[in-house]
Amino acid sequence: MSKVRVGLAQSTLALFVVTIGTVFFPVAGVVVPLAGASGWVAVLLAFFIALPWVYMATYVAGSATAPNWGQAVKAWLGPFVGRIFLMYFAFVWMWLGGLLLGQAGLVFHEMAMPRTPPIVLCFALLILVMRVGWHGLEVFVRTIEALAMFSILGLVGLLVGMLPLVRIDQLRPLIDAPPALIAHAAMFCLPWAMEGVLFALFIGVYARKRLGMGGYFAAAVGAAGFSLAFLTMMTVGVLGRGVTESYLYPTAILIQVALPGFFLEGVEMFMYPLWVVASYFKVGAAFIMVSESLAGVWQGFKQPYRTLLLGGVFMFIATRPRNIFELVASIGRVDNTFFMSFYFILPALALWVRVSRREE
Amino acid sequence: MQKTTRKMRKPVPVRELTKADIEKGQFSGNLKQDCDALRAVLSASADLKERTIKMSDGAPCAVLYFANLTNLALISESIIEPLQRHGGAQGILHIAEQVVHVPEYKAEGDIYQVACALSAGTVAVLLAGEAEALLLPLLELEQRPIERAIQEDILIGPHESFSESLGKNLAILRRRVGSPDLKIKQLMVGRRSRTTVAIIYLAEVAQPILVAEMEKRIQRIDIDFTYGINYLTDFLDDEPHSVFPTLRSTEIPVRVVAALMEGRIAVMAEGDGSALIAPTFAPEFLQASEDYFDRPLSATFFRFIRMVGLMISVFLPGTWLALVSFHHGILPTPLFNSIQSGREGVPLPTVVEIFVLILAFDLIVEASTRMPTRIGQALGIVGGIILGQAAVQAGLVSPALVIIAALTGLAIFTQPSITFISVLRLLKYPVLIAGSLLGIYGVVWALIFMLITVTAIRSFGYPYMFPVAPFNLEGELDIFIGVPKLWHAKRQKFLSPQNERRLDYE
Repeated sequence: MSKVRVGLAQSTLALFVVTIGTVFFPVAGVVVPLAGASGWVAVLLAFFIALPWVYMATYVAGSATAPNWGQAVKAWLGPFVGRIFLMYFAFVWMWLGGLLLGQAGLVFHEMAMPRTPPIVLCFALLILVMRVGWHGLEVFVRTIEALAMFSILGLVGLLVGMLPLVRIDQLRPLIDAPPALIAHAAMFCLPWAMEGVLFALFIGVYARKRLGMGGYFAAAVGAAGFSLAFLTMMTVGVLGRGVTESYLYPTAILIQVALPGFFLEGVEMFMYPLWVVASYFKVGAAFIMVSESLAGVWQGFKQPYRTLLLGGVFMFIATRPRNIFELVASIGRVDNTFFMSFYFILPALALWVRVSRREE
Repeated sequence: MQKTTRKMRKPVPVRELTKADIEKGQFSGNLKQDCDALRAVLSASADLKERTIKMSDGAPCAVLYFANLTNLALISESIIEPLQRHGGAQGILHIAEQVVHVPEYKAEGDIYQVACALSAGTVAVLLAGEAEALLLPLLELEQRPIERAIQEDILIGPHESFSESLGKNLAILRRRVGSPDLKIKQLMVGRRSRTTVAIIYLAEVAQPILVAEMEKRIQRIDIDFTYGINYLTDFLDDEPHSVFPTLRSTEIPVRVVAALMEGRIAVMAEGDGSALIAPTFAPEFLQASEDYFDRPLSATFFRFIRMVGLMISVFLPGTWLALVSFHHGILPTPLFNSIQSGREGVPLPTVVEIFVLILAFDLIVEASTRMPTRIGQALGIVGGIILGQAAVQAGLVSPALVIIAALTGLAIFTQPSITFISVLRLLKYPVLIAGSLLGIYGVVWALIFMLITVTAIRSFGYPYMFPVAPFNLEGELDIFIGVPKLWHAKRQKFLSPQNERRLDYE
């Protein structure tokens, strides 16, 4: 069996883009209704809180000697508990991945292609995700590298392009909400940070060099949090609190109000690719994590059956929500229930690994 | 080097070409019988000449050769005349060392091997009472002189290209690389063609495992006939079914030399004026050899133009179609009105219109490629301008689409590699289909699909998208920016060259 290995810089970049994923579209819509113009503080706070968990994840991942994720988990927890953990991990990511697949189709349908059924768009993305799932993590990380050049430039260009439109009076005061409200808003951002932490745990197992991995991964998750906080601030600055609160995906509106020049009246032209690419990053990561976890649970579950079956399951989940409101609610439930649970599971896992290593 | 995923092919048993008893047979020492056996193996070819000579001591000997393959004057001067002046009593080796005036010789006792050597332009001398033939290579063919490259035109730098003679090509390389590190391994490919294939590399730089892998892949080829080295790419490629070439074909010696200096290897074959370079990475197809002879800033600019050309050639028609058909709301109103007014009276839907135009452009390109140069140029102009203009006036297509199709067609030819041009000509169609079905979503879908495909490919075990993915700053600078030569002091570590430093400058 050939060992899949990714470089530390590659993993860090992958972690950064997967953590941001599609979150940059709804982030302001989630925190601003709760914390007003101080929503950005809530985002920053949530990702700051998550940093110790990043170190825990890298500590656990760094101790792995097994060639893949499934075997690494079984080595940490033993074959029985390891399998249970893998099944839970796969279940959580499968559910989220399926819903994000649905989101990719529904949102693009609403934004740009009202005549094309969302299921067609979901299926198109699913083909990409299945294809990369078939090739595995190494190819997925390489596509991230190749695409990140465009998507990060697009994101930076978007933020810089928005600067002239920011109205400072809408941002004043930068911190107006009471700490309790900010903390409450931060609670809703914690699952996003945990998604990054769990991806760090997963990809850390495959990192070629592990020296300084904690620092790198913390920087990636921190940078993702900072970018999202900055985006939230920009959204409020440009659209104002009222408009931001009234949309589920305020970033889409933010992009539409930009007037970069004559040639394109809006910059949706750049937003559309960004949406597809971001959806690919997040759903692709979820697909690969689920696929690898299931391979760890049952080694006989080989390709292409694994990819084909998972594709069917992802598609099934993606088509469950009937509209965008149901979808957002479902994603919220998965995030707040299952991903939050890892804030307890991960320290327990780290402690268990530490105790086991001492005994050895 | 990472392990390659290429699977071993099952060896195909070699079919015997002639009567097995003759092929496996050895010379007997009976001159008449040996000559008859040789003629039988060679099926009594009309161009096989046999000259029987009585040596000075009366010993009979026979000189056999193919008349159109060998230098007759040299045979007469260097072989027949000396043989007539000397005796044959001291044996065949004495004749080789003391009598004939030919730089190389080989004694061979196998009839089939001698027949093969004769077919390759060797003269065979048979002596009565000797169970071995003396093989004296005197190949002479009328060959194309060293000319300018036809497919890869060079603006600045050396203009010479390879010719069909492997010997001449190797000599060109040897002249450019004076170092004794330049190694050449020769292998034979083709059961019937028996084509010489050469693996060329720098012993102190290239990884031995890379050379061994290439040798293994060549040895695995069991084929009747090869037209040249490019014909063998299917056997040497990591991904023979992929549209993306993982071996770079070039007819420019300086490009081969540059590759050798980086620790890569080249393969050439007799009768083919091009070389294959391995490993090859996709982003390198943007590089032209004159980039290294030009000023860094100019080279950077031209590389940027090629990059833009690549994007336009693959994505412009699909993106245009997506914008006009699905997302026209984001176009400025005056621009959209202008496009719409141009389409007035056009009976075809935009999708069909753009497909027809792009296909027409490819037809013109293909037709002008097959035509003699002057007619081809005229055909290009007639097709491009007059047909386009006529189609617009007839109301068959809109003027904006003619511009899009022409720009796409032109952009493709900014690429320096003819192999890559073929790939780009092909790739725009799937993007166009995806754009016509799913708008911008489809175009980005096609981009990601292509990226998954290319990032999954390996060239001799190395990731094909290097240095973009996996990212390598040094490599990326070399691909996208024409950095000064002084910055290239070290070879790229990625290829694990045995000798890392290539420049010392104070």
